[in-house]
Amino acid sequence: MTGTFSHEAISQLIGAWAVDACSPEEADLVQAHLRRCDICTTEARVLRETVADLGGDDLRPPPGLGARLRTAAHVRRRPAPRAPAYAKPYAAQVAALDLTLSTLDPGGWQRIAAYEEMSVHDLLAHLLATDSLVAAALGVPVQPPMEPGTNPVARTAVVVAQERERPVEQTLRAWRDQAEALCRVLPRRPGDATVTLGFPMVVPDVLLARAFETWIHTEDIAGATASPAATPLPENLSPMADLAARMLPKVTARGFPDGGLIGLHLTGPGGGDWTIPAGRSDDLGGVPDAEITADVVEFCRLVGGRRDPATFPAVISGDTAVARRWLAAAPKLAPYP
Amino acid sequence: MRLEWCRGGVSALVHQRSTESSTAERAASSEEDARLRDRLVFGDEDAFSEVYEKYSCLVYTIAVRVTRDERAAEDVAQEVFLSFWQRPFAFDAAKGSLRGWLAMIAHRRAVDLVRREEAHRRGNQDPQLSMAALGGGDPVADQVTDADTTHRLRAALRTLPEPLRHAVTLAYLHGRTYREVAMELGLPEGTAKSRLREALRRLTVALSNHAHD
Repeated sequence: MTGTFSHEAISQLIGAWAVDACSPEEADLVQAHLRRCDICTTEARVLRETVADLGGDDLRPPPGLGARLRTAAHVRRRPAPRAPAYAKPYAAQVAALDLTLSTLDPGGWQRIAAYEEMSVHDLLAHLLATDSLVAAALGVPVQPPMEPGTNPVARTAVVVAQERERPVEQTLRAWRDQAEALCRVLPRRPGDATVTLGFPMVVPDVLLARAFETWIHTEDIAGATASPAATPLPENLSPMADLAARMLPKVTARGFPDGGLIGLHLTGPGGGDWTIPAGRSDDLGGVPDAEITADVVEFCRLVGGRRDPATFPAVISGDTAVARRWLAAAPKLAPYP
Repeated sequence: MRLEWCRGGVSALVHQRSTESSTAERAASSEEDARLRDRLVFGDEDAFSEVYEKYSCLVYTIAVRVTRDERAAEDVAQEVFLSFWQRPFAFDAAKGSLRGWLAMIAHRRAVDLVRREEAHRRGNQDPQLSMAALGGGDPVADQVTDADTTHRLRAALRTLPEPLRHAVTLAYLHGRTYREVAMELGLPEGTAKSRLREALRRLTVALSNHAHD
């Protein structure tokens, strides 16, 4: 094939493109071609690395520039809220969701992102609502004020209705400001205080649960709006997976009245090994009835209700029926709806 | 001038590049880049500081070389780092190194600045950044220090035949498009494109060889 858009024509531009010597239109053509041509992609990558060497790196910027940039960075984009170590996964997920939302156009906010009816705007209102249950329990003032004993579903209904009447920017600011206030108050709260989200949890666990849900909904929003998303950093994913492993007996117990043990092996960065009672028994002795090996990210998505247990890819040994029944119950841990 | 392609074409270039470090080292470096990017996604200010510490000399040096103006170079460096903090997903570790990407963004922004200044200069003849002032001599040799990287670069540029060196210098350091290169050197546009590509291919080999000296 020949012509303006042919491989031959575009590949001749690679050198000029690598030194930014094309017109903007030609640069766009090259970029588009690189997305579908492995040969040119390889050459472009090599030439770009060479171009990176052309300018040298022997000059040092003025001494104050780094400090000025760090200050300016706060204005461009808020960093993750400062938080105690146990709440860092939550703070990180808040920053990542804020980043995703900051790039959305008005149409993106109205896309259906979860539960077949919730738009991106609604989903953020839902996060604002559930976070507000934690914030209120820790003494942070929330809007609208909350009756004691309000559950996540009721609170979501109230807050979603309220936020639908407000511009998305206000919802975003309210959610982010509340997350900052929540993190700020944590160091002053006793670690053994409990908050009820479905069931009572100590404060560190409830912050992990909030990190988990914020991550899952970030992926919902990214999926609905064709936005990029990153899986949690391994050091943040690991405690989230651990929380899931510790909480799962609460939702699997009904299906395992006679108890049973599951050996869970989650692979990949942030993974680990757990022996989990399937029923209510706390007896962790004995040999597991089934061993399940799966990717840690995919397992967390299953627990978050975002994967079909029937087709969930896992390597199972021991009692396959027990393992599949246990996996089928895992998504019940997702707190909503 | 008759252009001679590097023997083996792209595969030879890749081979040359790949001999600089083992596959495992490059994979580790790519993972490190990806992690740094992800830490920015998750709003980690320390990661921003690390990126700055690691690459500020590279970005600033490129900006100075192209703009020849320290204030302008500072502005370019500031925009490069702040835009990465603001839009970290713009970098994709699967497509190349963070070093290469930041260098690309720095060069692109510096060239844009110089082109705007050049257009402005044509308008009022009062340049802050005048490409016309960059004409004579060896623009790289004029500025180099004894630093190893610039020594390697100068040596690598010397290996190029004059026509290739002239073309790549005009484009890289003076911000000329290949069409402007063609016009200034009295070449057909196709030849200017070929010279830029061939110059970079040869520099790839020369810089790799120097890395092993």
